[in-house]
Amino acid sequence: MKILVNADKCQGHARCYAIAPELFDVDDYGQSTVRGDGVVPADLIEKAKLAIANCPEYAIDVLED
Amino acid sequence: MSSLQPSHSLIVVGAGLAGWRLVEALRRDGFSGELLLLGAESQRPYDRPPLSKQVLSTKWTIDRAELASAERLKELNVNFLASHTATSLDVDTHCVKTSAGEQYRASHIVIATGSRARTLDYSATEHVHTVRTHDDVVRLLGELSEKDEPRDVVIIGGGFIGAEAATSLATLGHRVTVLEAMERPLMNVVGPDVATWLEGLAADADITLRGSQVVLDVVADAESLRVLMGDGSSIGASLVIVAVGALANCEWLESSGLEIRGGVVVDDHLSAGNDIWAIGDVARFTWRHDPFVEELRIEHWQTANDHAQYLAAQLLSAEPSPPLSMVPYFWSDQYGKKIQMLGHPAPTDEVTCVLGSPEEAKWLAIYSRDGLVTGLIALSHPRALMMSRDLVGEHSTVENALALQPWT
Repeated sequence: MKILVNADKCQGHARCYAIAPELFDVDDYGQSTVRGDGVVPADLIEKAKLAIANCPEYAIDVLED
Repeated sequence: MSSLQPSHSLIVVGAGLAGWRLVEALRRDGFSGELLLLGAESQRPYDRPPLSKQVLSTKWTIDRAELASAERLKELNVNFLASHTATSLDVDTHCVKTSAGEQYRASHIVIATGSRARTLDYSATEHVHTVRTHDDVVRLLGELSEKDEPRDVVIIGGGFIGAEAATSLATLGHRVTVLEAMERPLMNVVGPDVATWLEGLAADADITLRGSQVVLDVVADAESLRVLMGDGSSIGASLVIVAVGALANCEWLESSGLEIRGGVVVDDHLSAGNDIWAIGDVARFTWRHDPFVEELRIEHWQTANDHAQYLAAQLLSAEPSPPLSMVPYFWSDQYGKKIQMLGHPAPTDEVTCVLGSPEEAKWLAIYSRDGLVTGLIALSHPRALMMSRDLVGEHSTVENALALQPWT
């Protein structure tokens, strides 16, 4: 699985960071980015799905399943 | 064996966020049985939070708030019926009747009829707007577009929607006055201390905010509207919005025999019994979060989403599910700032500011009861807030929170 945060959609809730700090980083304004190249390790796929389902702006895109 | 088998069928009554997210989650997690989604409005499922924010400020066109395209509904094999308002439910036969007289039956029923804007009875009610639905916002924007000039807008109610609508309309250049019944907006939600910290934000955004206001009536004369106040004064306006909260859509269930108390009463698994569940705004659910137990209804995006994900997992799980566990979250974009809250503190809980200060309009505060953290609230401090989330989930002691300082 490979994910990307759509910077235009992200409104700075930092929910993804609260749920999966291993996968996301945020700046002080809550603007989120994926760590590294966005490839999700197998053991973090459930967390990634949780973060995707909990983004109020639907801003986390799945590039590859 | 899980509760929901491929041979089963499910009717979701209500096509708002909770209903749509449930349908999506059930298909995502493998349910292949029949799914009927009944929506009272004429649109396909759409997201409400952007309406008072991006859509009303015209940053977005309203179609961007759509959650489910026709293709997506087809892809998920969901039978979606718009403009189908449910009027009754027979809890024994699982028969749902609609206003057009049709009847639908399924093995499982999920009630997700949400809530509607509360309205007040004024002489000129037909000219007064609410900001709740797609049609509300289309009508409001349509009226604003009739004249290309700044308007005098009065908003009755300074809560979340009132403040968001005020912010959006002020950014379009309109002169906005917000009339709040309480001394300060949101006192009943965030408590008196935090309400004081938020008080100056409206003025910074060039919005007139007045507390302790009694509105007697809204009347129409030839050209404009007039808001009549309890002290004998009146305020002229070309546009009036009322934003005084929401009511659960549960009247259609009054004859059903289900327990209704301002919402559909469900247990800590969101069950109303007999393979009937309720989720989202309409659900009055039991929330156990040791050492606290509450029966409550929450009208926020996150709770609708949490309920949908929890119920889908429960219906498809072969094992008995644990009671609903969640850390409630809400946000509001007010007067150009983002307010975020985790947990569900009582307005009487103690408040401690732990980062920033009200003076700099950037802060993080802890709510506590009996020395235990019950919530966190932040203004323009999203990262610090989310770093501290576990304090709320675990109801850490305040002492422990101050020693750990996870927000740093």
